[in-house]
Amino acid sequence: MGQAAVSNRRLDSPDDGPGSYDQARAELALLRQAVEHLQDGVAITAQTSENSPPRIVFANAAFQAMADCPGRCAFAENIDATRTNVATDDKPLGACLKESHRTDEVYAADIEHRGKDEATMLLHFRSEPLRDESGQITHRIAVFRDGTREAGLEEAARRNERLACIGLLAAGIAHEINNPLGSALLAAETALAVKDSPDACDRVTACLQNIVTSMDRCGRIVRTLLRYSRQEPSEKQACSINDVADQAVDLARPYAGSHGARLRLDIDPVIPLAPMNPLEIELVLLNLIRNAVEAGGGNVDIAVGTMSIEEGVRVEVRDNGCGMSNEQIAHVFDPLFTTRRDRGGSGLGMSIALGIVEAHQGHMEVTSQKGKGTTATIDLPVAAGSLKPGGNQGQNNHGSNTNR
Amino acid sequence: MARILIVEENPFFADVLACTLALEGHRVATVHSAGEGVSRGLANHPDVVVAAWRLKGDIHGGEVCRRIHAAWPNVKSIVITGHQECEFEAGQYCECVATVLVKPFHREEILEAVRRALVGEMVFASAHLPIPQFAGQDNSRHLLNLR
Repeated sequence: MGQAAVSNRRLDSPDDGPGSYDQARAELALLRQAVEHLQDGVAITAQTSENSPPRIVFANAAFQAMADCPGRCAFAENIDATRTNVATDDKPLGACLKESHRTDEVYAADIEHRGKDEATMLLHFRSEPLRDESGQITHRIAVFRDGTREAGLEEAARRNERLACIGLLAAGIAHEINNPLGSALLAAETALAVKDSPDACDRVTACLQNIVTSMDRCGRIVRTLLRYSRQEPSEKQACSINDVADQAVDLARPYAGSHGARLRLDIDPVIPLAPMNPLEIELVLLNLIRNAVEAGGGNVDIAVGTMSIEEGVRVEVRDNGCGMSNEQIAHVFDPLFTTRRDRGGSGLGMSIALGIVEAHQGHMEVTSQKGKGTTATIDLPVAAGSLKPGGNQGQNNHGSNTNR
Repeated sequence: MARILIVEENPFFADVLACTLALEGHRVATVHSAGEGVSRGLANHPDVVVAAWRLKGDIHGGEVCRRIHAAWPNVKSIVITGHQECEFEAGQYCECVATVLVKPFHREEILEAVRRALVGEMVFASAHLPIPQFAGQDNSRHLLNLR
């Protein structure tokens, strides 16, 4: 905008001579054309006094389309920002413009705006002050960027991450479901084979009971899968972290095996129950195991261990894979950070895992050494909110990232 | 009739399998872990071992069969699994594993597998593998002979 300010000054000074005046006009036309063609909505506002409403002195075509006021916000047509349909307090666009004039700094906000087709847009709003040579704020320039598409992509990425976990689960679930299915099939055929024998009654009854139990088991497995895919609201119950870790290891074993990873479970047999949503914690562990498997590049030892800690329980996933650099580990919980972008990683697994752990009032820590391996530690309180932070601080002289 | 050792950690599956084989007149013993499978197999010298591929503990069903076969070379084994992937891994144990059956399988398939194992027929059966569709090819169930 520095260039624009220079051009405006020249326009104010036509006495500089026809050559420079024409040049300034040409520059201004070019700049206007450029701003008009931006996909972001751009508005320049001014406020003559503290109590007067800000006025829109320029708005590009994209802003006019967003505000549904074509032609009303043309350049230099000073429009009272609070009297147009874009600028009343209950209209987010106008409210943002007005609010931005209450500060001398950059003002930014994300707003939901209902466009003329009644579709809700997510707009990233950013307003910066424009100052004259003496440093006084004369105008503010506001940029509205349509983030609806980005938000949609992020939501799609989250969905993909969940589907990736379900993909991992699918191998385990296929086995889980084939067991009762196989059992029921054999039982049904055995019942048919013996139905005419003299002692058929007891045998057929036993077979039918086996079928009922097996089908019930199938139903429960399918319900579990559906709950994963639906993301039901979190309900906590007193659970043994040992059972959850055992289940996660069981489900991940086929996946680990098919990638050449060795998966071991080391449980502390005496461990208190802790309030948790077992499905969610299982999902976190599955995610961590998946990361460990993929960090191993086809040859890695993974140990999932549980233990009691003061006022809580701990579960950790330790691998001897490729590890992470200090720079990577600093971003390990950042949404969209991934070391596996080329292999379809969305970078949301760890941020979702952290979200789940935090919803359990728990702590999560990842320590890693490049080339040596990574350990992810999750501490959960045995009573909600009772966990003392810093359970395993000071043990690591290598890269770590703790979120508590 | 034969002495059959079943090594299967799922109790419902183990029960119905034992019942199916016993009704054919076989003498059936059932254990639920790899360790028990190896020790019972070494101690009792069964004619046929039917072992699940996936077992709790350090070793899988293929390894259980291999260890029993090392002590009693005439013992033939049948591996049962819920995973088609395991079928290919089980191929490494073709010295002792006569057949691999993928769950769910039919009663007649396990009975036939036992009959074949008893006569020493080493057949690697893939009863439930999705068979690639090729134009003009007979897509009926196929058996892959490893020997």
